[in-house]
Amino acid sequence: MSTVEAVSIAASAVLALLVVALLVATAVEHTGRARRAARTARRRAELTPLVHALLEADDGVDAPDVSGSDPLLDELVIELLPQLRGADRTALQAVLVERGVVDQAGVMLSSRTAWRRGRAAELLGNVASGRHVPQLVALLADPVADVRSAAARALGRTGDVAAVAPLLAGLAVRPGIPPGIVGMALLDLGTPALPALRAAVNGPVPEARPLAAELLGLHGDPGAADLLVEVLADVHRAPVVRRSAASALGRIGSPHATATLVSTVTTTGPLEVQVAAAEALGRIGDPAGLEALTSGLRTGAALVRSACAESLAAFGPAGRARLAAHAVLLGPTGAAARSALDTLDARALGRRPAPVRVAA
Amino acid sequence: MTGALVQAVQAMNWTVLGYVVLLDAATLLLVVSGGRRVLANRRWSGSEGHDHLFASPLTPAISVLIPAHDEEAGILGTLAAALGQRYPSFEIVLVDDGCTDRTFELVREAYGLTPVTPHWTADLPVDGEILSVHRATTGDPLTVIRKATVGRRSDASNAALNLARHPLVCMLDADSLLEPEALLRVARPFVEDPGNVVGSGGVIRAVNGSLIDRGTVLEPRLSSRWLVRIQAVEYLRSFLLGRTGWADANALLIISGAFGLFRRDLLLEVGGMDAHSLAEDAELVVTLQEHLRRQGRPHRMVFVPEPVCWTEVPETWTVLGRQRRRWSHGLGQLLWKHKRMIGNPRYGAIGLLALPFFLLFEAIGPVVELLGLASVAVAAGLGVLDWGSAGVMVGLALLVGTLLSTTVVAVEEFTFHRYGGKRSLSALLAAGLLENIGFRQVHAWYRLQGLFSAVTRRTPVWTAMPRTGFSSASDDRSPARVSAVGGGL
Amino acid sequence: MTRVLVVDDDPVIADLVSFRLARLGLDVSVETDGQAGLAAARELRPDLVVLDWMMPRMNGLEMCAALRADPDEQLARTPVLLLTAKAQEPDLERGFAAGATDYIVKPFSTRELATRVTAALPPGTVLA
Repeated sequence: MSTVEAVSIAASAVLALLVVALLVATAVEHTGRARRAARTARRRAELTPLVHALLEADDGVDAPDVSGSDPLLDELVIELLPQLRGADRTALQAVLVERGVVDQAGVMLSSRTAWRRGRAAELLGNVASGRHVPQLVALLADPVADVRSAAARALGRTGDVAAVAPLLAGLAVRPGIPPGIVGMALLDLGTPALPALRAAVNGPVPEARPLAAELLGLHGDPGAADLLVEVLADVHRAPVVRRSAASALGRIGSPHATATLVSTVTTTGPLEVQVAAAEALGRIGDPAGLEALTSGLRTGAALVRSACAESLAAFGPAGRARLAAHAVLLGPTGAAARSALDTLDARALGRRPAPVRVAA
Repeated sequence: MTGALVQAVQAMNWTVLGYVVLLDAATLLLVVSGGRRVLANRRWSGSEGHDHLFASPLTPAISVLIPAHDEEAGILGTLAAALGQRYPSFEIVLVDDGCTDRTFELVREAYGLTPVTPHWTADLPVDGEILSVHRATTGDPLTVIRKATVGRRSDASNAALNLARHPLVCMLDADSLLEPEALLRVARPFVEDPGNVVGSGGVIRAVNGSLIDRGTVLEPRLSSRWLVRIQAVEYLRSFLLGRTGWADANALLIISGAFGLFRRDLLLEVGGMDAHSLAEDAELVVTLQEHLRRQGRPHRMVFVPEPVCWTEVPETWTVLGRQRRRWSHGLGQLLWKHKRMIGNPRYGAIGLLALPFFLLFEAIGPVVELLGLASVAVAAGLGVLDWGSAGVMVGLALLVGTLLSTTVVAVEEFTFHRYGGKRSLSALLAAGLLENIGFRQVHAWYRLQGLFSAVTRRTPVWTAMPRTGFSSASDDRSPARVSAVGGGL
Repeated sequence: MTRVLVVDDDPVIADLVSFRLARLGLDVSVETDGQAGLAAARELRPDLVVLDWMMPRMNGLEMCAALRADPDEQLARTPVLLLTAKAQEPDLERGFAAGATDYIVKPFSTRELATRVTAALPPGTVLA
């Protein structure tokens, strides 16, 4: 027998052993899991009424004593917590505090394992723990990206306005926090964050400006309208900020913005800004915008044309009439108008009320 | 003379064995590294912020593109699953690519389609004539394009791409069922790293034999057919783990056409789908990588290691053969088209690791394996075969293959364990073993044929895979209805 | 006794909602998907339906639309409360277009849910 053969046989033996070991481990896991699942289901069934009772605590009924209960209770509460708000949420948060879960999570924030830090942050966010805000802010600079995002999300839910500045700052540093995550956290903070957002539109962090403008729109903050109009009107500002300002103005819905939006649509400029302005005019619905939209439909670039057509469709009968007038034209204008009209018709077809049936 | 021949044959056999062992060992390493990554990822389960993504108005909207050719058996299920996605904002663009069956009629009836004037957002070249465009009146965000077929799926994909409106685009096969949170999971990398991520893909599983109702996989089950079971293990191996390993090396190569999410602007930049490729999904990824890396732009592709998509796999050798030949043909085309990337450090890990791996093992592999088989047969025929030695070789090769498959099934058992039913674990293990005895060899033959077609530059044609349809919950005991659809090659 | 049908594929939520409504003195039945929910509605004739949107097999919107289109006038007029995590503006529009009487967004407050249910029930309904 040659050496190669001998080696092969030895290797085969080792491999065979490994295979057997794996098979055994897998079988053990398989049977173990089934048993564990059954046990967990039983415990769940026992604990669920307790959780319901905890939610009743605010109705003058005494809260049941949970200090000695099964640890699975924590899991059930944590599971339910993000789906509730108001008094229910407060009651469940109190339970977690009482059982020391919150304190434990606070300690976990400094764990060496990334997923523990992340889960701790997630939990503290759900519990809206104001106590841990400084630690969560510190985690915004964590080396692991997922932990940073979890911390940002948690800060949004704590409702502490002190988090706004670090969140916005997180947009500009490397490694930072992605704008989508920061944006959602800021939205979660709600109206207390608005003053900081307004300041950020013209603030020192360039990455924060378009996001702040967009968020003001999503909040629907009428107090920011003037500020945003100024930003839109200033042609020297970066197009991405002007675009966010335009779309925010559309969401806020104030007709004071119409004049600036009209001039944006009718003046040549960055395409994205014109498109956003056209969309905004459609959302606001101020008749003063009809003229600009019609001219945009006729003479604008392709993207602007379709945006104007869709905005006209949102105007009701007045816009519809203009679309109809242009629908007969050949060429791209006609196509855009017809496309917008067809969308309207398709929607209308869907909403036709069911025919009245005569009872048998 | 005979001595020299014997020695030559022996040397050949040992070389082939060495090759097989090397391949399996490399795959095993990837599988193990992937398995570790998957296990680590599971720790995060629940803290990824999916609920936040879902509730956020800032989450980028997705256009789901579904090219369809004679898909009446499963199209309603696919649409139901796609429209039922738990995602804040999305649209579906379905392309009826010259369907000769009732695909369009079924969809029209279910969603109250009405003709509309299309609003094109791009003008990629499309060879098949666009016949009409329709929109649903049920309030569902569904648009359907009817076009004449030119026998190429990429043509339909490009037509859909011309109508897509959202910043992210998802390519979906017409027989694939998305899990309810699929879009959320594959969109997450784009939100977490918007500056770098250009594409992401999700795990695909074989759905044959599962209990399905109206697009929802009520209970994933393993089919009773061994051919399907073996493919299930294959999919587990290559999708769940092999790719996780690749992505770690930043060399994610194939996001299967069954489910991948990309940035629309970049897709348009590279001119949409390659009109002549048979493996257009892999082709797209490589083209994107080449294009972006050459310009020094961010090119990160992410793989989401959780099950997100269920698809029908071939149930007969005939259909399987067609599919595998097509894939090999496509792979060959791809390697040839992008040959300058192979071994080229300018293209990073894709050039240095992924493409050479594919060339060496996936493309040339079948040649080597079959040569080995042939030489053993020749040796036996000539009476010069050392049976003991051959036995050792075969044994070793089988054991390595078995270790690989068992590891794959073990990871599945420890992580997702999606396939229900009492016998699924033992069935998967057995299938893993069986794969090495027969399936692998036949598969190599199919791949060789595909490679041959690629080398001889045969013209590829898109043919419909005969669909057995999804078995409905009410048809529990009876086998799924077979729809008599099929193209011929 | 006043009967309420709760249709939600998440058992935790379904449990909680039925517990809360039962405390109001209502007789609560639970189903876990739209198809079963529709069948149950036709059989039980509930006085009110609390409906999730995203469910397997048949989603809440489809079930609501099917209820509204039912030939039985009384069934077609059953108050339907959508209880869903889908919170974007187009979702609200679609929900009401499908015939929902009210639209509650998750995360929700069980107390608020109870208030809205009481308000949606026909006036003069006796609660135990």
